Amino acid sequence: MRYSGLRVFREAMTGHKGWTPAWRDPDPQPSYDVVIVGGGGHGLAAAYYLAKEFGQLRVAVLEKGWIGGGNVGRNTTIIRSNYLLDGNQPFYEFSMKLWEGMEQDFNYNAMVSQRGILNLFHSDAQRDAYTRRGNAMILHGADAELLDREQVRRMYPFLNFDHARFPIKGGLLQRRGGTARHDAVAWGYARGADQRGVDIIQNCQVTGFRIVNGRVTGVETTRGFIGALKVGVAVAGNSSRVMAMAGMRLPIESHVLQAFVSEGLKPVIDGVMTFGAGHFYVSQSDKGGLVFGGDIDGYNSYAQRGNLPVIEDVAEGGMALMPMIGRARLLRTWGGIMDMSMDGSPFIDRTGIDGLYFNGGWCYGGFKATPASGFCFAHLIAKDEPHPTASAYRLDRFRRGAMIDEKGQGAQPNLH
Amino acid sequence: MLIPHPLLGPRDAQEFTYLGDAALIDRPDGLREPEAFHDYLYLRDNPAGVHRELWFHEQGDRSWLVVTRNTVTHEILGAELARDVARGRGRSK
Amino acid sequence: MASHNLKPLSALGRETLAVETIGPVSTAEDADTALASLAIRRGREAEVMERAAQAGLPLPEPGRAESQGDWGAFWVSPGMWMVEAPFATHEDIVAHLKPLFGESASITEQTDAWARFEVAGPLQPLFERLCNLDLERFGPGSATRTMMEHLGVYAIRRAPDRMTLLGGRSSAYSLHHALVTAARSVF
Repeated sequence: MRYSGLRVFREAMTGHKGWTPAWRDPDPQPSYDVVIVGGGGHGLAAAYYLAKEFGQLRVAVLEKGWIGGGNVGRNTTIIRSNYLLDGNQPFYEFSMKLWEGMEQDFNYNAMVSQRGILNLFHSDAQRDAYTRRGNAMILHGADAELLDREQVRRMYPFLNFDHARFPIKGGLLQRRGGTARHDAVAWGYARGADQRGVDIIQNCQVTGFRIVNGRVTGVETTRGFIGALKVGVAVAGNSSRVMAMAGMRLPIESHVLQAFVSEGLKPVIDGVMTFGAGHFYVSQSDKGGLVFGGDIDGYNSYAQRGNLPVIEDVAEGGMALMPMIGRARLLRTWGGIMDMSMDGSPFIDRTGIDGLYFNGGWCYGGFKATPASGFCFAHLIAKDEPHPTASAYRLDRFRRGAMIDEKGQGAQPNLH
Repeated sequence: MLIPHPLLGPRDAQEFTYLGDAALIDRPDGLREPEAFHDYLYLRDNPAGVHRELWFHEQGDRSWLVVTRNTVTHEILGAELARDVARGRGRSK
Repeated sequence: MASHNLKPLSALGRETLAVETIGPVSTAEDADTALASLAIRRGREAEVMERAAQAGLPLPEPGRAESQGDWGAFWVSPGMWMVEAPFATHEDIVAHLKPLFGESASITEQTDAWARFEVAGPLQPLFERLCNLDLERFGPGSATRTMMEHLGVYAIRRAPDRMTLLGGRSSAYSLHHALVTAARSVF
């Protein structure tokens, strides 16, 4: 069924009796050409593009819980392509272009909103760094504008421009950045993949890999063995656990990152904004809640909940940037598990096992990468060679000294 | 989280900075064993469950501790001076 | 002594020491104490303890502070203490300590690295606002380092109603501001 305004109108006239489930609930078949482990944003996107772009007809997505129940449902929904390094920026700009066409492509309203993302700077050195970043973005075909203090003031007059330690000197604005409805991204990809024949199998946990002579032949699951010519793993927050079942140790530590939503307020922040002097960023949801967050808690965790010191730290960042946030009441806080790679950049790569592919290590930045990550993972699985924009995301880059140290920090909490 | 400091009793985790897996105590010779050094530097077991890890009492007595903690529940099961752990493995200092 | 126009300034940059009285609490900047760190050199622990005992200089257990005659000391980390003495008689505190310990310990001048505040009055309501010390377990004779407003601070409980705070001299103003702000919000 194709969704459209006309369809909504027709269903409204006929008592909404014509709607069908957005995707099937199939039992697993004995074998597939490609099995994707992990029904989150990246896994569902990979399955969608495998079917749509790379002609893979027998594809399954295995999800231990329900689709979209992991990090794609727990993030702060920001999309952007404001990176600096060659290994990153072409990939994230590819992702941004996919965001821009995504809803028409998979016929689902993901509420992609290009409301702009503004990175504030507070010193001359930071201005220079953002100038360089903006130039790198433009050279890679993205958009960037350097705003001075007065231009920022026109956008957000309520900010604390004259903070004693961190006065706002300006900002780097990417107008094409913004937000998207995170759950709808998972649902849209799931529906699009399902329509193209992908089996989405929920409540099906992978418990092991069957590996014969260095080649993967399928996966053991709570619903029995499922054979596969190729297996792709995209299980953010569980990467080390799942790949350990294939005998691999990863350059990853799992950490908890907290996020926050205030009570609903009248419209006040119409874009996304990041504080440049502490780790704090904020946007406002369509329901009116201020959505904000900060740094990882800084210790290994699989708990999906954090502790008070980081909440205090985030609150202090918010108070320094926009003191009026102190009047807003916090509605909810929650935590998600970030697979922090050692250089802060992700992996989309083959493994030492033939037919087994790995996608993970997205640190804080997995959501914005969802479309390109899925596309490039599908490319890698289908063609057994990396997509040009994701060619730097190799697992062996530490051995080669080819780290992508965008921020000079990875899992190492004392560098944050 | 409260860390049971072996000398000072329970202390707020805020006073500490975190380094990670306590296996980092056993540093291989990077010139003699480059492969082992790569694994030491970049790879982690990253378990869900009981984890032995290094915490530095930076805003306290500047001791390095080996804390045993459950990464799923955040329950802290014990703490010992990293100095004692290293000596227990035959290191001289 | 050669004549000059230099005036000594306190850690807060003033010509006189800052004294604040806020409700029942007073905070007073103190410049009358000389300070040095003393760290045992490797393998010389027994010798240091023996020399200290001979000199009448207390080297207390972890988490504790003691004084005896002119000398006071508080524990800072395994094998290391801060030693205190009256500034008027021990301005050159390192020169006093070196002969006592010889080569057995490393001794470093610390006096002007720190700003020192004496807080007197009801401590519990003030310090529960400032830091995470549990004063019930931190009775007189206790000493520790902890954080107040992100600043590393040594706290020494002299008496049920008296606490000494040592903060980095370069952030003395921030510590004083935190103290006074907390006291005003409580009392």
